[in-house]
Amino acid sequence: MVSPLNGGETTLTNFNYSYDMADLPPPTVRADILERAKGFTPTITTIYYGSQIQWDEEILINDLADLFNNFESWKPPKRGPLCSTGFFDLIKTIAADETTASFQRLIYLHSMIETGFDVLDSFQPSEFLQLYAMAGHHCLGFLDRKLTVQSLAASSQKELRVLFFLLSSTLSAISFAGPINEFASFPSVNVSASSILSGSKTTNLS
Amino acid sequence: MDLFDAMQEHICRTLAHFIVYLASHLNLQLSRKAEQKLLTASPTSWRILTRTPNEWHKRELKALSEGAESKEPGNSMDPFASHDHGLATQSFWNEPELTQPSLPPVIDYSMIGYCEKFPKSFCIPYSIQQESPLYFDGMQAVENPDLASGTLLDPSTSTSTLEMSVAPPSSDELWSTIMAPNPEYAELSQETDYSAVEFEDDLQSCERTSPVCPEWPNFFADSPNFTVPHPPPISINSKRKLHFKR
Repeated sequence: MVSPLNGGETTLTNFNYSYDMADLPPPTVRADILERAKGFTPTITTIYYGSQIQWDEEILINDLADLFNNFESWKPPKRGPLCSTGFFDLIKTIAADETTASFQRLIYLHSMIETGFDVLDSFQPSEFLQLYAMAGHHCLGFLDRKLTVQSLAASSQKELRVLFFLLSSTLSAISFAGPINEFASFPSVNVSASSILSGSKTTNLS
Repeated sequence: MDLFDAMQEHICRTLAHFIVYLASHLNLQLSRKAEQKLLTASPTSWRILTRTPNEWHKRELKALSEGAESKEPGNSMDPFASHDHGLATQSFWNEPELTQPSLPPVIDYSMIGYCEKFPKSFCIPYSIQQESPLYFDGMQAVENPDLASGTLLDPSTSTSTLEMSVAPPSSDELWSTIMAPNPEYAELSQETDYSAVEFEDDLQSCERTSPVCPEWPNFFADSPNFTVPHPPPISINSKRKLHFKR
């Protein structure tokens, strides 16, 4: 892998894992899980954050950069705004609807895992993690395509800022990843859980 | 380090690499120290960095557990509805500031917290009682219009739930409703035997020198504009101990 700082081509994942080795659900089940996932997606998007947040990516990204510069005083962002319609309107400038929905699920489920939230009416814990894996898989695949030299060179400043947001939130989500088979019960706050990495394992787009 | 951890770290560092790369393209002026930390942070470090404090989890999960009962089924799985209830962010990432005009329709316990030094029966604003069919049995909101007339529930059989769909009052409204005498309850206040009311332990130690009712702490005795509010109907609740369900 060549560093993008050196101007070379790179891919996110150079692993040679096949789809079958992943912890993703079988293809026959994925459609069903995704269909049921639509049940709570609108709930997320209708959360009201209204006019309190100025959805200007330049302002928001400066806030984020300040946080990176001050790790010691890091105050974790609330992920509500990240799941609000304002944020996903931003994402839509560079991503398709399906990708936007995947990011939405990823951030949403990540937050649920982080908080140990265990109320998912229509999902078993395993399905929940599988859904997380699918969202992570999709997001990493999208980033993998976007973070090429050619694509970056063709991107506007606004698109790069949105990518910066997506990278930050995805990185946070990945850090909470864990193999699915480690979680016999629903993960609590103290047990990192997700299968996003399992999604990444299968992202063989190089 | 097993294979999974190795891959996780690899992806974290690759993404961090791109973050630093994009930051330089966007002139975000990341410090040298920040760049170094980003590039070398392990997944564990990221978990710690981006993790929300436990205190926050406890508070929010508590709010969730109380609010989930009364919310619609479609929203019961939605942590954000109560994660950020009443607290909209002026800045995207920073700590939220309270912005009263845009409160979502939930009871904001931080607002109620202003009244902690009042008798517990003050903690639910009158306006909520007046504008909704709810009747507050103790500190528990009971969704039962039949009780609006003042009928009391048997606490042993009560299935009270907090109704979260009632719009909370603004801060000014809250204070005005607390401080202003409510003529609707004036008659009740005259008939009520306040000596029967038991307060929480923390209130037992309060100074009770109110000229109107010895059971009420007189926190505003020095204030020239102070008027002792009439007690809410909760006071007729015989000898049952007031309990704030949180």
